[in-house]
Amino acid sequence: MLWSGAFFPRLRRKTREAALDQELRFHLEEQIRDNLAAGMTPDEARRAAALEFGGLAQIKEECRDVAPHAWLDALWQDVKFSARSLGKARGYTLTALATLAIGIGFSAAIYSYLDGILLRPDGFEDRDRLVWIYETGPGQKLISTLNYQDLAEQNTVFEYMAPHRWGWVTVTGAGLPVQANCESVGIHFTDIFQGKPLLGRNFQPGDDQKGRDHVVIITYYFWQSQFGGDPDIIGRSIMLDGEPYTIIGVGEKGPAELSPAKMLRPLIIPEQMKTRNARWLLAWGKLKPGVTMEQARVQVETISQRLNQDHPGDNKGWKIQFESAVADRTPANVKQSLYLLMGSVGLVMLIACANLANLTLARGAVREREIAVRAALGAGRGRLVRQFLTESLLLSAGGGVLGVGVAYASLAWLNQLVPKNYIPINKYVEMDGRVLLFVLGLAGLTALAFGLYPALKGSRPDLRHSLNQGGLASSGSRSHQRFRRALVILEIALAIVLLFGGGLLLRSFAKLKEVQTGLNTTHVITAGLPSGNLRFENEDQLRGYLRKIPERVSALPGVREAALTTCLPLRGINIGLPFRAVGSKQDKQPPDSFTYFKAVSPSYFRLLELRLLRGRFLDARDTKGAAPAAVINETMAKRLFGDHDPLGQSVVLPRVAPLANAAPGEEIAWEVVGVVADERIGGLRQDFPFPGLYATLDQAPMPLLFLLVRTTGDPALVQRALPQALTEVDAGQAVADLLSLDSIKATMIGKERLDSTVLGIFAGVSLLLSALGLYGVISYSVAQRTREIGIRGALGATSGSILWLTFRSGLLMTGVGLLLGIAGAIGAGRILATMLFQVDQFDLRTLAAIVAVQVVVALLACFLPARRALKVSPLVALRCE
Amino acid sequence: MSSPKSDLLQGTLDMLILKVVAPGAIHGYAISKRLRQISQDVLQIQQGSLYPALHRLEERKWLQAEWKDAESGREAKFYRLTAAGRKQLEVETSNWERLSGAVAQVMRTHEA
Repeated sequence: MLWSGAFFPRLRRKTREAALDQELRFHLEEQIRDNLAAGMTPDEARRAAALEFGGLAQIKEECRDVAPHAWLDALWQDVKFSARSLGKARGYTLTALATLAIGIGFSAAIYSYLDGILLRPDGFEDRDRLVWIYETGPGQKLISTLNYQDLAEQNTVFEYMAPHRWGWVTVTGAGLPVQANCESVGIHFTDIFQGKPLLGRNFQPGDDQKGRDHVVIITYYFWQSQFGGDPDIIGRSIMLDGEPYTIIGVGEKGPAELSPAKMLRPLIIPEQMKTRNARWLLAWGKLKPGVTMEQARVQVETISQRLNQDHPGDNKGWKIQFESAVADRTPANVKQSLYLLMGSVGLVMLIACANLANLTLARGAVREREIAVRAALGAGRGRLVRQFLTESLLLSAGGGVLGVGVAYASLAWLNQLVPKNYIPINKYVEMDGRVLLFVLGLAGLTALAFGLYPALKGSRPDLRHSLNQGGLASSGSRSHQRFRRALVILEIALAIVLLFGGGLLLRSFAKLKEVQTGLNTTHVITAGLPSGNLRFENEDQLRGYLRKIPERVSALPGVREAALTTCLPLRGINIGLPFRAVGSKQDKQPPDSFTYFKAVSPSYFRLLELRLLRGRFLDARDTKGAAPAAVINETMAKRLFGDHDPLGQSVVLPRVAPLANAAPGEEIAWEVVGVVADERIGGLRQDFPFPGLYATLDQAPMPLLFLLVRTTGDPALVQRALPQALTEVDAGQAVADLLSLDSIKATMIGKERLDSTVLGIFAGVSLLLSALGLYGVISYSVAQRTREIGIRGALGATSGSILWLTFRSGLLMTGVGLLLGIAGAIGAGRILATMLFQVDQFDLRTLAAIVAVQVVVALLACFLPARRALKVSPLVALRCE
Repeated sequence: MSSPKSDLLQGTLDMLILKVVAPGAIHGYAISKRLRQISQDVLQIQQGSLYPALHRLEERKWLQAEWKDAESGREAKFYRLTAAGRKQLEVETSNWERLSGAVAQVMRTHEA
């Protein structure tokens, strides 16, 4: 069959071979026949014919070389031979494959990830033209309504501008109520950040007019998660905070995910906000095509100066500025981690390449004699080179395939490991094909270069020398040896650097995990209970609600205790108020001294197992009618009362307005009834004490709420039953962010976990690679010196002296590597200093530990070949020549 | 690696083969016999050169091969000239004539 020949040269070769054989045999037999006819005996006839014909195999070979696909056949032969020879050197093959796979896989994954996060964090077109406009001055980087409007009217550099406010709404009318991020934006927001919508339309003029503004654009992801990707979504009505809105569009997948927004609605500026001195808006702009940043900057500055001259009262000290909107929203500390990742993977790749080079050179050196023998038997230079080339290619291809696998696995792992909230966009980074190709090429080239070197060198060898010496150290291979020793030293030094860095971060991570939070975080579920300000008409209605929720939740099976609070533990302070003790003059209190204020259910303390130092916890006594009672934390007690007994004293705080329509204002004196030990309120790294005061929700009712539930058994069961139970109390109650307190604690150290895990793994890998390198060099030198060792043995050398012989060079390399490595480690410690928590950057314990580990591993790497050296019998050694 | 080379220049052997094949389909053994007969045993073509040459010419599409029964009744590989082969033969023949004419000229001049 024709096609089989075309596609499978081997099949064609079979039939071709048969044909060739038949053709030549025919010739031979015809000759014999003629010889017989000429009167020879059968024997003579056959011999004469064979003599005249010559070497059958040689003729065949030459005919084959003429054939098409001859090179393919030869290649196939080479591949078979290479596979066989690699199979025989199993240790080398496995190590080289693993090195390639790790080198390729890790680098491709990590560089793809970095590229995705740092260099191309978004998918915006015209990203260079997108800017974020704000006022700088004594406050946040926001802009006031009138300044924004004046800039919008007077400038000629922006194609579009749009104001923007963050916000949250409770969505009802689509399944259970949910709390979702809904941003109010100017109608050109979509022109700036989004192309055409996937479904429906973008905002258009008129959408921002009162009465027509109840329209909303939802993001692709919200459309998928909340509406199941319903294609008929356009025109559907949903309730946002109890008001009906019409869905007019669904955004494209991608760019709209710049913020965690789920929905966009038109921004209506309320009358009371049309001022020049209240900076409250975010603003975005898109430069006109062809306008440079610099041109725009000049004009915006001019307008800003004019506004300051015209309205000196409102604008004193403020200045309108802008910067690239999408340039760089990755927080500095995350970038630090990513660069750390990049640096360490670079080191690993370096070690991997060095190791590969080392192994391949070692193998080439061992094969010097083989090459010499083959060259002596007539193997051509081209043929030898081709053969080594095939072997290197085969190895690279195998390593490449494995490497691609490792790359995809590590990228998936990275995507999962990097804490979501540390990256501005919740994005899943895809593998970058170009990066993958580049790394594959690089590793392939390394394998090729070092694989070919021995072939090129060996194919014009000093044959006599190589054959005579039987691979004993010749001057050429001595410089060889030196190069490989240098490689091993480099590997050891780099491994030390990585190990030290990894060790420091791991210790720091362990310290962070041990941080005392002052509360028991296990088996506690937390949830946000968002509620619009307007749902409760008066405080008594709110009080009723605040009592019912814990009652209902406590009744669920598996719940030990439930409590409401205005702020979760470990999650900041939420409400900060100035405070003073009764009688103390306010000016004695430093002006920036704040206390956190938590209104809680009385069960809050028991639930979190806060430690009571004095007096009592809050309880059922502390209701609306009773005297205001408060529990303060240790820090506040110390700060306000020093050594005096705080019980019975009073702390004065401004009253917090519970509902939007309630009057703000007067101060309340809270009587201290108890003192508790501090609970952690900030991150785990926060190590400064912060004063705090607790009151009951009954005495300080507030709709800003979080729920805490301590479960007896499986928290998942309770978690499932919660939303239903809450809607029983209030049909409009949404539940946001159901999380365990443990997981909150865990995400707080997510970055540290990432750093220490990744660096730890890299350090381990590099330790392994450097050990393999050392092992390779030592066992090669043992193999080389077999004869010498044998002779020494025969002359009566003790095993100790033979061991020393093999260990000496290994220990020397390790020693030099260690010294260089420690120098590098000190540098690494300096780089890491800011990332460490309660660990010194030159931590001697860590350094000592890793030096010990490296020495043990090095001894092991030397021991295996040394044992082989001990077993060398003088007889075998002498015969091995 | 070294192969037994015929004393003939390679191009010359190719030309001779094409010439012998030109009259009609003929198998390898017959070609070698014919070459010897025509040259009255002066040209000893070794099989080591003949068969690779045949395969090479076939590869260049100057010869075309088919399997047929020989006089002896056994199946043999017969070679025939293709159109391209015929053209090649003409080119080589005229080249050869020019060359040999020139060589003869030189030899005569030298003698004189």
